[in-house]
Amino acid sequence: MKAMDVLVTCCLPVGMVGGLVLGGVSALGAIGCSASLGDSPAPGDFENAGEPGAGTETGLRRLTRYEYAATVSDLLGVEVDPDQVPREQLVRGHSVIAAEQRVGYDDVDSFLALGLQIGDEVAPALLANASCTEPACLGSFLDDLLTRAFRETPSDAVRARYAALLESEDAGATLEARLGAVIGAVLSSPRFLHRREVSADGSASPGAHQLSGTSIATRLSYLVWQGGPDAELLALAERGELTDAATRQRELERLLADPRARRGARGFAREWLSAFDNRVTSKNTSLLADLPDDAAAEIEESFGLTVDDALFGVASAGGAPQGRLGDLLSTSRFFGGEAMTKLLGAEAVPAGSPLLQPAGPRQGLLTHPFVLAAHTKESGASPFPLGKFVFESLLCEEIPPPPPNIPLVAEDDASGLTLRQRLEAVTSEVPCSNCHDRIGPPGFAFLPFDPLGRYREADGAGAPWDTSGTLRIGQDQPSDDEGRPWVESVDLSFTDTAEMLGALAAAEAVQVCAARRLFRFAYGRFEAEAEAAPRALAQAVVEAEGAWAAALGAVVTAPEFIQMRLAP
Amino acid sequence: MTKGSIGGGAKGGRLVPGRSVLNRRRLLQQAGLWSMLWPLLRLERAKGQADLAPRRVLVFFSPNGPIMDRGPAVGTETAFELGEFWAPLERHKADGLFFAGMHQAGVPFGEHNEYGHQSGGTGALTARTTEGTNHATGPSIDQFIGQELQKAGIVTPQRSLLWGLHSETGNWGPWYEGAGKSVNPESNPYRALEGLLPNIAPSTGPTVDPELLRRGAVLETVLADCPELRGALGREGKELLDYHCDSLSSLQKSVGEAIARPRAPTCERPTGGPDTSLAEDAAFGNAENVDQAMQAFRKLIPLALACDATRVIGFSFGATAARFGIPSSYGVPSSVQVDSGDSGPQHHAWTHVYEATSDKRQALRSFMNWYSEQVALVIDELKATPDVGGGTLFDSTVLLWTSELGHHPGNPLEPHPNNHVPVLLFGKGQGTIATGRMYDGAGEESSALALHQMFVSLARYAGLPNVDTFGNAGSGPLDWLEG
Repeated sequence: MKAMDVLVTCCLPVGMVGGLVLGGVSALGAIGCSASLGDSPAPGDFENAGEPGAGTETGLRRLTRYEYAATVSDLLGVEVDPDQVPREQLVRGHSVIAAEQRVGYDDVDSFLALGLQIGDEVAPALLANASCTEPACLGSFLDDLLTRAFRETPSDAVRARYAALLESEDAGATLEARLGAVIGAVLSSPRFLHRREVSADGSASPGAHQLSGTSIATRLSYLVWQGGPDAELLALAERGELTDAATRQRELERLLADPRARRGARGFAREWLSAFDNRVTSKNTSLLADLPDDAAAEIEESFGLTVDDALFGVASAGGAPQGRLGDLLSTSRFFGGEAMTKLLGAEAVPAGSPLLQPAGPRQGLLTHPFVLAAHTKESGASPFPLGKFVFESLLCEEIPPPPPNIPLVAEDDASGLTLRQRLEAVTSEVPCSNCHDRIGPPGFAFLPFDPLGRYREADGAGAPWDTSGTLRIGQDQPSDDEGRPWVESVDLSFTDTAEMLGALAAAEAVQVCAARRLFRFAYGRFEAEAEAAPRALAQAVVEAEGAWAAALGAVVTAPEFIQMRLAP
Repeated sequence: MTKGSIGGGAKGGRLVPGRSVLNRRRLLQQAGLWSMLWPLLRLERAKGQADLAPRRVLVFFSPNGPIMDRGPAVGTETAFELGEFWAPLERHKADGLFFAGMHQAGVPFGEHNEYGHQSGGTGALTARTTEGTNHATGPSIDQFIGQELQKAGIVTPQRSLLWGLHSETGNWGPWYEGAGKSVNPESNPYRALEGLLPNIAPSTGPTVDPELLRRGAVLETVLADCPELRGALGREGKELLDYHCDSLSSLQKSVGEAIARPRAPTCERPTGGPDTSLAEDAAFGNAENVDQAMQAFRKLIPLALACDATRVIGFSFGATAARFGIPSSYGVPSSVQVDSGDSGPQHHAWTHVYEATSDKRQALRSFMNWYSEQVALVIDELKATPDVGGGTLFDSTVLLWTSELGHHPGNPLEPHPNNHVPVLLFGKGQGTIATGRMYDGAGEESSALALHQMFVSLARYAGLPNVDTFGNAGSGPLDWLEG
């Protein structure tokens, strides 16, 4: 067998294609079908279990790594590498599903160590700035810290407990050390590590409840900023004014005008595209050879800049976002330095600027190296993982997990057939075709891209890529009480990669899926099958043609945004 | 306010104290008391022998599998030879039990390749399936023992330790705190040592590390938040909060124990850093660095045990399907790119090369020899480290080494066999285990049940006599261990 093989997907029983002679297959005793990333279990791999927490809120939402880092940055002005924060449990390509975020022994150990590390880092400067030498001098600082960190005015008991650490010999020999301990305690507390959503009347009985003001404020600020509410928002919360939709809309607009709103947009983009981790350095070393040492960081930041630019305009220091969700999928504006320039075969426009003019049919985040790295194997072609990704992230349709045994198809062989032709040959029969007829076309459209997003004009044999296809998007199956599907299915035909990406960017089904993913992002749970709120959001997003500000407006002004539903 | 940056070392200084009944004065008083009692205690301990030593369990996991060879031994129960992949363990042959032909515990029995890496990774240490998820549905044996010991009142400064040559496990295991809750090893020996140090009093006398007291104070403050938060939550929220607060409470117990206990007589607080030439910010899992990383961990393991920082340590050579490599000086050939997209001189890629070449054999032998040698060197260290009661650490330690995948006798090129998994157990367990034998499971379904029972035996040995099941099948201990 020469070079790469490609794993195919589907559900052939053992031996069903035993007559086919495929490179690399002869050594295998059995053949099945799979849409896996090979043997590399990716964090975004979907489970085939039920949807945990669909339809109800837990009332407790552990901060994601990015939320933790953003919140600490806002609180203390210190930047934390999200990779140093205990990881979330990924659930079917989502990091925000609250019901699955349990904080274990190692997690609390790590949170405590990290909290103390941060505390010790910032305490000297805090004391110097405050010119404090006595604990009593830190009273107002502590009040402010507790209020912002816990997202509510602390009770006297809470204030007294944390203030006691400032006086405790056990907490340290110096005031500096004790202040570090206080900060470590704050950052280790369940009050800080979980966003709490509680009812306004204190009831915790099963069913629907109106949220407390601070819970609404917290839901709003994390949606838009990935961080906690500021004093203005908390003040509105404590005056009970956030139950008013118009007030929430005004606050949304205020928050969107703040540079921190870019964090929220980046967070949603990561969540929508299941791109949580930087997988650049996991690729085959041959793909990394010509890249600078800091390529991974550059590529990740480039992803963020593209999100900023598409939704806010990268040059804009603030102001309401003008972009649309579809722009994330259609933008031709990419940013970066040496690594991105090489990967995109790009030129800086103008020379020396971070704005790059890529070569080839590249558009949108689906062709960004950060996203492609998240959903491809270490080398070679990954059409089926990418097709599966398109269905699951952009169309909200689950593709069943792969069966255990998979046939292998050599990426280049002597048959004279292209890779696509050979892959189609082994996946064209039922039951393989049940999945492959769907994920194949969008996956094949990515054949020209390597796992880090380099565009290749031709395949290994010099043949031009066949990236045409027809993609059936939407679902005809009824999914609500009235028998309506989320989106009626349509066939989307395309002749090449660019055409498919452009069509996806404009497709109603993609907007509907983005709305569903946004709903999950906002509420920390999956939507229930017949639930009205996500449908209303989807309708609003479609009517607004995916405008980011309008989509967020539809979320925060919905009556459900100030409610919670508790499970029996 | 300054803008700083926080990097490296979320787990730096791992231990956290805090027993609410302890305050600094009482601890210092206690420390003074210990200093007076210390000689008596040492004398008292010296009277006892190895049965006074804490019982310890080490659990090693290696990724992928031997694939080409059915190991680790061939022969009869008492007359057997180790396979060449496991040759470095020859010097400990008399102290080991060698399980060949074992079907992965917890994994449905089949001819081969039932679930590949997923089932092998999640099942190897949990003896459970994924039940349709990407994760194990119960704790790995190391975590289970640590949790249950603490519940049983056998508290150590660390409930358990998990170290390894990688720090991210992702999906498919092998280390789990509980169903769906994976845990990641600490791969930086500097941070591993930093976590241990507060538990090890300086040799000048029993004192309490101020950092322990500090963490105890913090934990006490934080834990007081728990009951105040609980009332406003519904059932699901309470469950999440309780899980979190139970974890905090468990950590507080560990730290409280670290504060309260005296320094073990065989425990010496190191004065320098870990035993490695690598810098603190090195990529310890990098192929060129793993020898130096292991050199450090080989010293840290006996240190943690001698100081009774914990009774159970997990050690992970690699996560599921690890692209594990060893230094180029070993001369491992480079594989071509394989179907999973990887290539090079690393373990996983070679398991996917579908030709029985001499290069493939050399590569797999190199990796298996390397794992074997590391296990052998750890045993060397345990045998060389004095324990309380006059014996060595090895006298009271049982070491398990198991693997993600095994071997398919009908197709030695099959990369994902969950059958014929090599399992090795070392240590006489204070005389409870009859070593120097091999167990041949013959690849039969019953061999998986034997592994379930072996896990039960490990738990019982560690001090949990009431454990009767582990994983999703079987019951009772593996009586065969007793000879």
